Amino acid sequence: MNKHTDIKKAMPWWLKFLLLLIFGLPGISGWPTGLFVLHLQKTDLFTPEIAFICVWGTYACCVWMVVLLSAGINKLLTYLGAAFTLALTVSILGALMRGFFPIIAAGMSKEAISFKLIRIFINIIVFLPYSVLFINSFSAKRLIDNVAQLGGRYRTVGLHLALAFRVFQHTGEVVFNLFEIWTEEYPEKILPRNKNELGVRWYSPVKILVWVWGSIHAWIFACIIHTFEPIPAMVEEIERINRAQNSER
Amino acid sequence: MTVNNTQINRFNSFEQQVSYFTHKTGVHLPRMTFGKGAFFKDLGMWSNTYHSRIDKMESVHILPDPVQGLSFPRAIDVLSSALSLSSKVIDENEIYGLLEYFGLPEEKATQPVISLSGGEILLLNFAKAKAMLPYVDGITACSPIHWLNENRYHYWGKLAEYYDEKNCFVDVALLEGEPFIDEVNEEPEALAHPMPAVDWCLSLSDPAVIFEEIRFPSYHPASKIGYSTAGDRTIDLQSPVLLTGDNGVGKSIFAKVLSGIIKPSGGTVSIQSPNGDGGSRLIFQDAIDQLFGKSIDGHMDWVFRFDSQKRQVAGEIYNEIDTTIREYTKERPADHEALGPQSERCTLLQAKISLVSERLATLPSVLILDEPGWGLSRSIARKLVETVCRTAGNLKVAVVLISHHAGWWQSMVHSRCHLSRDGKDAVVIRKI
Repeated sequence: MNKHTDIKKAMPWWLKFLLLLIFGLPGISGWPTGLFVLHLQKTDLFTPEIAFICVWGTYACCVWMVVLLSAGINKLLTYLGAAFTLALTVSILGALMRGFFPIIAAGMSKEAISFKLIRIFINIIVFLPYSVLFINSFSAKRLIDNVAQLGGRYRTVGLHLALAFRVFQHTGEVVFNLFEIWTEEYPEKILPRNKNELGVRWYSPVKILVWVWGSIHAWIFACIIHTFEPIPAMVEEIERINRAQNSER
Repeated sequence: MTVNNTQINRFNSFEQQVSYFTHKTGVHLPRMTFGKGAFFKDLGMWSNTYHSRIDKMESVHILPDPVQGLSFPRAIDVLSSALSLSSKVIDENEIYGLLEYFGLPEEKATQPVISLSGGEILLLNFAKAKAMLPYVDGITACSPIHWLNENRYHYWGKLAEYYDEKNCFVDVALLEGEPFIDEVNEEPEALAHPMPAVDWCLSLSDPAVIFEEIRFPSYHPASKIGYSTAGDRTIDLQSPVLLTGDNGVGKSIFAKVLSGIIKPSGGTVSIQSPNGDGGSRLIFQDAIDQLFGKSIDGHMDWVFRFDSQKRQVAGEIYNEIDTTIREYTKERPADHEALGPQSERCTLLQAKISLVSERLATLPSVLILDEPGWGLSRSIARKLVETVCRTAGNLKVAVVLISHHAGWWQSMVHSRCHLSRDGKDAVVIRKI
């Protein structure tokens, strides 16, 4: 064990929870980042858009630094890889959808749409690593043990929440497994393996959209299905812990 | 070894085995080969009915895919949770003791469960079952030794003996012909025609895979596996090849390196085969996951979305394998259910045939089948592998079988390789 791990072990869960909650405050309430954006605007050196990007860019660096210190460089790079992929996909698709269906962006100027997509992009690259850090900072096993010791009406609600928490954690494990399966099927990762039919230009705009949309669709459903697959076994396990605690009372 | 309370049930198909398991335990396993609609329907049915189960007997479950019986991310959590059912204070040494008892080293306690090998996951299930013994009335286990090397079968024997001593029931669901601890293996039938051979060679230049240190959410030290050959760097092989080795030695990791899923941190591995020196294709141990949440036909249609010619080839290969196995099952009606209806492909066997056909249609240099017999009865597994090897041989695709059941593939393979540890970090591949 190293010193870093010992410190993490020594920190009580509630302190960890509080620190992470405070750290995530800008995402929940928009404070104090909103305040800093206003201050920057008042200096007349920045437009509102640039002020927003400066403040949220700085906040993103702080979040990544915390992830780096807690999880190490490899995990940070993995989380950032996933976050940037998701952010780019969402932003590009958002832009395309607004182009194809102008009604979605009714009443908004082109600049406002672009800025909205930038905000979505920044939110994803900040809060995806933060959420993964948050979810993995607590032990589902300890949470379930503690909730099972509770009495009264909070116990059932608590056990459901604990199960939901563990299912969230399980998503990370599922993504790791699915990534291996995807790599075996599509070694180039973002291109289909089988695309050599004579006379078919798979990369034509229509077909590439089919591929991108199909891939996103496949990933979403594969993640959901593989995350939900062990729920019956998990429920059985949690209910067993619950029954064991009941019998001790 | 006498275990009195053991009830052994044998089934001809994976679907029958799962159905029995659900009936006995109340744990519903949603179907994964029908696509998302059927999956969510099954999950909905389970959520509506699981509270109505009358039988409240407490039992340990070893699921057909044993990783699903482990609800927590690390062995230390799994075992402390199991121990806490009957004891308030958990001593870490007790956890390490349980791991050691079932042949797992101490460092496995903090390794993520998803990165353990199939055999190690089964052994962890045994450790969990022993930890839960004071609390439960029995154990229901599906194929409890299928992923174990023969020298580790005794761990199941020890566990069953513990349950027997405490007068707990042991309910085992096996597939027909699957090996079990105190049974004599039958000699496999000889092949009617010799298996076509494909000459190929494997070259290793000290490839090594490094698993980085994990600092989050808990600490696990870095580890390394380096592969080497016993003599020359190049091994000449004749397909089909059987690859054997102890649990956790690194067979599946080697298969992933060969198929490009894991990139070696140093050194190289290369293949020279009649179909070129491109990457190999791999069928995982738990092949159902490779459908990526889609139905069997849905997956096949999607991977060939931009190549209808290969889709047609894959379809022809599927029909060829399917017809051969259907012919075979005509004389064995009990085995017929594993193959399922032709109109709606939905069984594990059909999923495996589909995944194999898809891969063969891409003409890889090598096709690797990791534990091809999982979820299949012995006769069906043999017929499937025989048919696949023949089809692959005709297409000049070399086949590698990774398996703990060397006896199943007797008379079917032309070369054998064995992986063994040489020190902590090194694995030697020997042609035997």
